[in-house]
Amino acid sequence: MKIPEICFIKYRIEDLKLGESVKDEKILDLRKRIDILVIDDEEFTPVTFLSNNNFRLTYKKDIDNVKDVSEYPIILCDIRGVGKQLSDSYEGAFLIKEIKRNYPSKRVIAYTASQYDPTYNQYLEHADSLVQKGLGLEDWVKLLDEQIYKTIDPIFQWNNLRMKLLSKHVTTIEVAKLESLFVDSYKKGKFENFEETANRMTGDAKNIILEFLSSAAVKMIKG
Amino acid sequence: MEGMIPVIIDGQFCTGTLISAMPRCDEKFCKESCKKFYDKISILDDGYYQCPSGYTVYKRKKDEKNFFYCGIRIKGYYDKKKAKEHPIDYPIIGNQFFEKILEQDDQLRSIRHELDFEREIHKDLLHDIRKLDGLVKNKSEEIVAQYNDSRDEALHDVTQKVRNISAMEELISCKYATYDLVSNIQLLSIGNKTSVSVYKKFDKIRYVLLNYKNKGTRIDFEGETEFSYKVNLSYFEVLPFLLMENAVKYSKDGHSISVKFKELGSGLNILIESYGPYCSKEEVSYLFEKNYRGDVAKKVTSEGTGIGLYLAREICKQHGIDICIDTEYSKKNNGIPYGYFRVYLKF
Repeated sequence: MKIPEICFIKYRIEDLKLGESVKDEKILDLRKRIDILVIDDEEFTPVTFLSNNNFRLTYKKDIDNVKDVSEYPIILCDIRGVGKQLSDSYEGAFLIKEIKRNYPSKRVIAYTASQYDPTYNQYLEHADSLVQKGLGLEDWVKLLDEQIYKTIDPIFQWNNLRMKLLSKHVTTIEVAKLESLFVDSYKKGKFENFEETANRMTGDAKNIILEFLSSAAVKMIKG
Repeated sequence: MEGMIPVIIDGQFCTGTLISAMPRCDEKFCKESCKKFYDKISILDDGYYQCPSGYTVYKRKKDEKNFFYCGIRIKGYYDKKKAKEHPIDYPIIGNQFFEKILEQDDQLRSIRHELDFEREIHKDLLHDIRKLDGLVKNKSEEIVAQYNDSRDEALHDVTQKVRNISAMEELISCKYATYDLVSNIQLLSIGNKTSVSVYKKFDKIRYVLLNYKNKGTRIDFEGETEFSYKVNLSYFEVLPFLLMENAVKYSKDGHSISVKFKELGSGLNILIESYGPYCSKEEVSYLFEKNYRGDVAKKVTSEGTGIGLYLAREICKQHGIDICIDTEYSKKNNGIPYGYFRVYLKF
C-alpha cells in the first residue's frame, strides 16, 4: 500500500493582511512609484491632467517587441495604429493579447476611438479594461488608481497567479505549497526560497512564476 | 469575396452563393495537375476550358487579374463521363445563361466593393470624430477643473460655458457608445469593472440632457446617495442616458421627470418616472425587445428606433441590475391616451 505524502502547509494567502501593504500606502505616493506606459500613435489627451495628479506616464508611439513593456507594471494601449510590426489586421488588440500572454501580472488597459466588430473580441478580452478615448478625466483617475492598487496588491496578484498555475496543470498541493512559501517570503521581504523553488519547476509554470517575481507587487516588498 | 459562382482569384478559392463549388474543388485547385492547368490557361485568351476533372472553367481577365470561374458544367464545355460527381442541386447550364449569371455576379461584386469602400471611410470618419470629441472633452474638463473655484466673475462665466461644451461632448460619447453596443453587444463583458458613484453618473447625464434637449422639461432628483457600484466605465453611462433620454423624449410638455434614489440594505433602488404616451400593460413585456416601439409612442413622435430599452436591459444583465417597467393610465389628450411610465432599477 502506498503511504500518502504528508506535508505541512504553514500559510494561506488570507494570512497576508491587506493592511500590511496596500492600504498603508497613500494613493498619491503610489502614483509616483508605479510607472505607466502609454502606447499610442497619436496624442494621449489626458496626459497633462494625469501628470499633474502625480501619475508617472511614459509615452511611446509604438513598440517593435513585446519585451519593450517589461519595465512597466501598467500599460495603456491604443488599438488602432499600434503593434503594426506584430499584426497587420488586429494591431493593438493583438499586442494586448501578446503582452498578457508574456506578462500575466501586468495590468493592460485597451483604449480606442474606433469601433470594432466582434472578430476583435478574442483579442480584446485579454485586456483588464476596455475604455473609449473620450473617457472623462475623473474616470481615468479612478481607473488608474484601481489598476495601481491591483498591481501592488499581493493577494490579488497571488490569486491571479494561482488561477494561471492551475490552468497549467500544476497540482493543488503544489500550488498550496507555493502559496505558503509566497506568504512566508512576503512577510520576511525575502524571496530567495520562493525563487529557488520556481527555478526547480519546468515549462510554462516556471516562466509564469518568474514573471510574477519581477512584478511590482513583489518588487515593492523587495525594495 | 464570395460571388454567385465558384471562382479562383489571386490563388484564392471562393465558393458561389447561387452555384456552390464542386466537392473537393477547393482542395484540388492548387495541387499538381490542376495547378498546371490553371497556369497554362492563365496566359491564353478569355473563354471556356475543360479542367482535368472534366468540368468547365471560364477564364476571364479583368482589371489585370485572372478570374477562373470553375467547377461548373456548361453545355458543350464539359466532359460528360468525367464530370459526373455533383451535388443534387447542381445544374448543367447553357453558355448564354451562364453569361447572364456572370453579369449579375459582376454587379454584385461591384456593389460589395463600393460598400466595403464606404464602410472603410465611415470607420475612419468615426474614429476621427471620436478622437476629436475625446480631445475637446478632456481639454474642457481640464479648464473646468482648473478654474472651477475662481472668484473672478468673467472667468466663472467662461468656465460655465466650457462645462456646457464638455456636456455636449459627453452626449456625443454616449451616442457613440450606444452605437458601439448595437454593433457589438459583447463589448459589455470585456474587462473588469470599476467602482463608481451611481448617483454621480446619473447626475452627470441629467446635466447633459438638460443642456441638449432644451424642452423645458425638468429632471428632479431625490435621495442623493454615495452608493458605489462596480461598472463598465465605457458603457455604464449609456444606461442612465437611454432611460432619461427616453423619458425626456416622450415626456409631455410641462411635466417633469422624477428620479428617486433609495438605499435598501446593501443595495440601491432607483425609480425613473415620467408622464407621456400611455403604454398598455400588455405592451410592457414587448418593450425590451429589439426595435419594438409602443403604439401610442409611435403616434406622438417618429423619433426613436426601439433600441433603447433593449440595450438598457442588456446593460443591466451584464451588471447584475434588475430592471422592470410599470405603467399607469391617466387620461386622453387630443385623442391620445397619456399615462405614467415608471422604470425601476435594483442594484
